[in-house]
Amino acid sequence: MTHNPSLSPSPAARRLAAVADVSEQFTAADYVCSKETATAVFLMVQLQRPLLVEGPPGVGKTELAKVLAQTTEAQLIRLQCYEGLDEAKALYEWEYSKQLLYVQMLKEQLGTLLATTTSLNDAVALLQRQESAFFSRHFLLPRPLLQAIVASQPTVLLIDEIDRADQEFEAFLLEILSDFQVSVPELGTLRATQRPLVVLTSNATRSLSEALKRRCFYLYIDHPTLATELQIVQRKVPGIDSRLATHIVQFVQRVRQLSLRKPPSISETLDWALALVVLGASVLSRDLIVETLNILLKDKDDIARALREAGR
Amino acid sequence: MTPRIVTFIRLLRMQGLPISVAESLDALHSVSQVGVHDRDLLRLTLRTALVKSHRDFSTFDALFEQFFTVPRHQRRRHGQSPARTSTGVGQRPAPQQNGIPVTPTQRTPQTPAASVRRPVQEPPNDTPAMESEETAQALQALAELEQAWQEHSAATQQPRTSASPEHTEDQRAQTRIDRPFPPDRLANMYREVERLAARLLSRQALRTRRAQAGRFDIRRTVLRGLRSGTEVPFTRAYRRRKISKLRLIVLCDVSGSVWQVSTFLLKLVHTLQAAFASVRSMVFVNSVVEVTELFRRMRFPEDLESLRHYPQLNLFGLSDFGRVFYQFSQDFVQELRRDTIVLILGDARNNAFDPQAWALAEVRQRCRRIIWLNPEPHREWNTGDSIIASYTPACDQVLECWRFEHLAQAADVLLRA
Repeated sequence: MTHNPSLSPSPAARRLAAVADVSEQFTAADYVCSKETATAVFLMVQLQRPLLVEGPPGVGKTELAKVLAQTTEAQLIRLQCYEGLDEAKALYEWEYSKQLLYVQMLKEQLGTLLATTTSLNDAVALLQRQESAFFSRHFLLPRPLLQAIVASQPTVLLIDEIDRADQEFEAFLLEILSDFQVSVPELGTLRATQRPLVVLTSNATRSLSEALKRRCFYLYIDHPTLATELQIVQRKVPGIDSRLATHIVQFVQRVRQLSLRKPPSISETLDWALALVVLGASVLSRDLIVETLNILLKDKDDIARALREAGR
Repeated sequence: MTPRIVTFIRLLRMQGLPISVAESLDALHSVSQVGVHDRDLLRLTLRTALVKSHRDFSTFDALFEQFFTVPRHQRRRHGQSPARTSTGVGQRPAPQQNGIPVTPTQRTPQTPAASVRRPVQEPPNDTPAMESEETAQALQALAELEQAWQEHSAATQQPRTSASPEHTEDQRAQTRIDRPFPPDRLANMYREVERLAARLLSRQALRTRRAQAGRFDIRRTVLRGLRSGTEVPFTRAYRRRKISKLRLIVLCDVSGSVWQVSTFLLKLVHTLQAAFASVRSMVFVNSVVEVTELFRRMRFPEDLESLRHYPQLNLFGLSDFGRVFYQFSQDFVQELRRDTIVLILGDARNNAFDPQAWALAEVRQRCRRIIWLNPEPHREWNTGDSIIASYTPACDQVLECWRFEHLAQAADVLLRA
């Protein structure tokens, strides 16, 4: 419990001062969000808590973080997780080659510096005093997590697909998320001047640890309802005929009801709608579906099933 | 409002939702941000802070519906208009019948729903303005609730989750997994299996990572530096061990007698999938059916039953291990390689059919290792129609698997194979 919500609201918190503000500003940024989403975003901004977003692929989890960065005028730092991701890739690394290069270039300078010394002991002592020059921020290669911590401007940190990282990375992440400070042995502790807004996304391929969940607010984004999806299509595909849009969305919603290997996501709906607009379609005919369904569905069996459904 | 929410959280916990104190505090802070005038907003706020899995949403929503419903006469008095009318009655979870509900997949329907309803509705106030009066009433309601809950527990003779016997490491290890569980403990056991697998997985990941990172190789680093002519070792060299992931084939008996243990093993393997290059899963009774696809994207425990209801699988037939191994050695011979582990779960009760142990021996010739888990205690092996002895020569390890600790042991053997 390090935060105190009553103290000095962040600029982001002032900007999104009510749930309605979130809906409004997200909609203005072309992100149609449900009340669930708006509430969760509002709370995470107000209480400065990380937000864990789960849901099937392609429902706009990553997009949510991007829009959040956009509306709060924050810089977006993204950490894409994968199996085997470790601290060196996520936090920081020393730039070994750069350090060596500098040693090489400063060789003569070192020579003159050490010329005054008479014994080896003196030389080592003298070098030790210079040590900090080679382990300074200058040679530190910050990775996304450190970037987010030391950033001077407001930041949205997106930790994407956390379920793909190993479990012990999760444990390491917990430490960072709870105090937003990192100790680099050679440099000391680096503390965040302002807490970044953290969004974690997960496709729920494995269940995350209870400890991580406990520290986050939770949002589950499911496939959108017909009305929402229609709204999204109309916003994202400018110039689409409203009748065509309705047909597309109705069809997609029906297809999602089938038990497919991979139900179509919003992004696929949008791709499909865009393709149909480019093709100059005004109504959704069966032939048109047959020709273009491979944009919406990427699996042979799924396509066959959806076509059977379209026949009805 | 605070005591009311605290009471609500208590009830959620009773329903089995894992809610920590930190989360409760979060919920209270959150509510102070949004206020309590918009009922739906209150629901979403509490849910965001308290419920961390969408599978628990329905439990939460149903309880919210019951708990935060202002009776009709009071609503009129305060001029409040909650989003929906009182529909709590219809959504009440089905009352429990003698401890064991119809499907084991549901969350324990332990709601003392009928008893909850009355006391909660009695506090006549839902406005935060009358906080102190409300506090007293909520506390009283809480006391009543607790009492109702105690009575309910006693009446249904259902031990509470917290009092279940596997609450210490040691007792858990001793827990028998070959007996049917009451549903609440079953969910608990699945969680334990998952925790176990997660622990083993992270150990495995650490091993792999260490091997991949390798040890710093001074000799080669210096040599490289020399070779580049600068004498400065710009590129570091490491000595790396190569660890490649193994392939796993699971052969799981799903006939009634061993199904309980099978579910745990399947849960374990399901969570361990990441540690293997590929996992192929087959189920059998008297013939083998591959269920890899379904298994890969299955949800626990909802989809468990669908694993054994494949049309090709004669679920009610008699177990015939000989036939199964023969069929397996014929159909999947091309799948067996030097990096393949075959994991078999079965009691080897062959109903006096031909053992055809040579078929299993042939499988062994082509794979890296065969591990057999027998869900019967050691003393029952080779009694009656159990013919585990005739298969033992073909297996690298034959382990008993009827306690939780056996499961842990099996997982360990599997990952070290």
